[in-house]
Amino acid sequence: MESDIDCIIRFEEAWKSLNSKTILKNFNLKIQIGEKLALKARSGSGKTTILNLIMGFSQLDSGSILIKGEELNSKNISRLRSMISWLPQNVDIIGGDESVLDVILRPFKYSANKEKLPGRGLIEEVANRLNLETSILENSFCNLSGGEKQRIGLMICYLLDSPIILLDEPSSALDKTSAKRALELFMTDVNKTVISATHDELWLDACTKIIELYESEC
Amino acid sequence: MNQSVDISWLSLGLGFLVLILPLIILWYYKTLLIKPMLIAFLRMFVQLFLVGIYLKYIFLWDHWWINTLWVLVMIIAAGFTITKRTELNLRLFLLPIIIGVTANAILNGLFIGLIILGFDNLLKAQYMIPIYGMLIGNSIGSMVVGLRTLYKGLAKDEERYRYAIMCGATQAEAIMPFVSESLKTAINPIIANTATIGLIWLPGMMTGQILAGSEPMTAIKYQIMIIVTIFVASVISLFFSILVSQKMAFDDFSRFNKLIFKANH
Repeated sequence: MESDIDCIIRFEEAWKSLNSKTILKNFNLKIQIGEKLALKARSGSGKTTILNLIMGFSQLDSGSILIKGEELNSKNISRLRSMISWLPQNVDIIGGDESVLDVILRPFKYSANKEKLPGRGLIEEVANRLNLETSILENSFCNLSGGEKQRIGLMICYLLDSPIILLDEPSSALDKTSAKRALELFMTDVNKTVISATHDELWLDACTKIIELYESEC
Repeated sequence: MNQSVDISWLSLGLGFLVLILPLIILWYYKTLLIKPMLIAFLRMFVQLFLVGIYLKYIFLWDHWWINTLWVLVMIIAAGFTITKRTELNLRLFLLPIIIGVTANAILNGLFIGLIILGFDNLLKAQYMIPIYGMLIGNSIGSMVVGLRTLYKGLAKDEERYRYAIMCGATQAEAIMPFVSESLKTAINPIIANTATIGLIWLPGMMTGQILAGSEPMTAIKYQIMIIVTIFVASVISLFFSILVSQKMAFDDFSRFNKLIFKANH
């Protein structure tokens, strides 16, 4: 039984169009705490837009999105965003030519996360769990492969320890072993709500609910 | 020292004949620069001629409030020029940019008035007009480069900004790398120039003063003062305009407003 108390994200009669395509048409959805939801659609069908809507970077044409029962507004946006961590599709934006360790630690230099600063031991443990050698921490981020960058992004999401995790194509550059390791990391915690925009069958199989999106002309 | 030799109008007119040489070169290589070049030189001549007439009267009257009014006109003109050259929306950005230039004028005015010349001297047309002209004029370039780098950078790499926000950064923390890049791009050339002054090039103010008959050492002291203040002006005016213009560039949800680049009307 789904109850409103356990509902962490809720779309109510949501309408959204973008570039003359209707992405959401009277869309209603309740996402429960701990749910592992997959958004499945062809490229350009609005998966990323839905993630942007949840993060408050995009606005609905009508209807509402509630996070923990609160509609996003200018007063609560920072607090609600702090409950969400995000792996972008383009993982190149995560860092530049600084060391991988510096890229991982940067979010913890922001005033909001200073108390969450992870120790070296935890960072190395998470790296191992994601099939990464610990020596990678000393490398320059920009020299990593796409798959390694993706896993560093996943590490940051995990270390930020937010209750809601948004993953945009989380396994697009991962081999099967690394993808399985990533699934173990994110899909086993019953307290984390994970929303993944993905095409990957392996990832889709691990989710508890799949929402398929179809594009339509306005 | 001798007074400078005046240039007759005829000599000045004949002086324009030297433009024939670059004109031939630009025409021969089909650079399509002939028309813009002729327009630019014509504009320069007319503008300076008109300014000469204005300045003649401003120097004649020499009231502190007329001089201050003239500085205000310079600030507003600089505001329009900077906004136009940065391709930012005039309606949104004119005021923040004017505030940046004004903050620089006030702070540098205090510095020159309190420490260097004294307020009585600073308010005289002889000092106020050229000094503020140089301060404001020289900060235009760095403001254009700095603001363009900042906002074009944010438009291009908006996702980086969003990623920082989602990693817990405040808006100020998230734009920090963009502001840093903006300051570096705008200020680096001035630092490089400052290091070569006297060796590679002689600055215009000092050259002008020497041509007008000043003692070289006096001219150098003025030049040093103006170089310091121009540097301060460039950093201060850029910093303040970034600070104030952020309100226009982001909404209440810390979303970057892409409309800031819309046409200037």
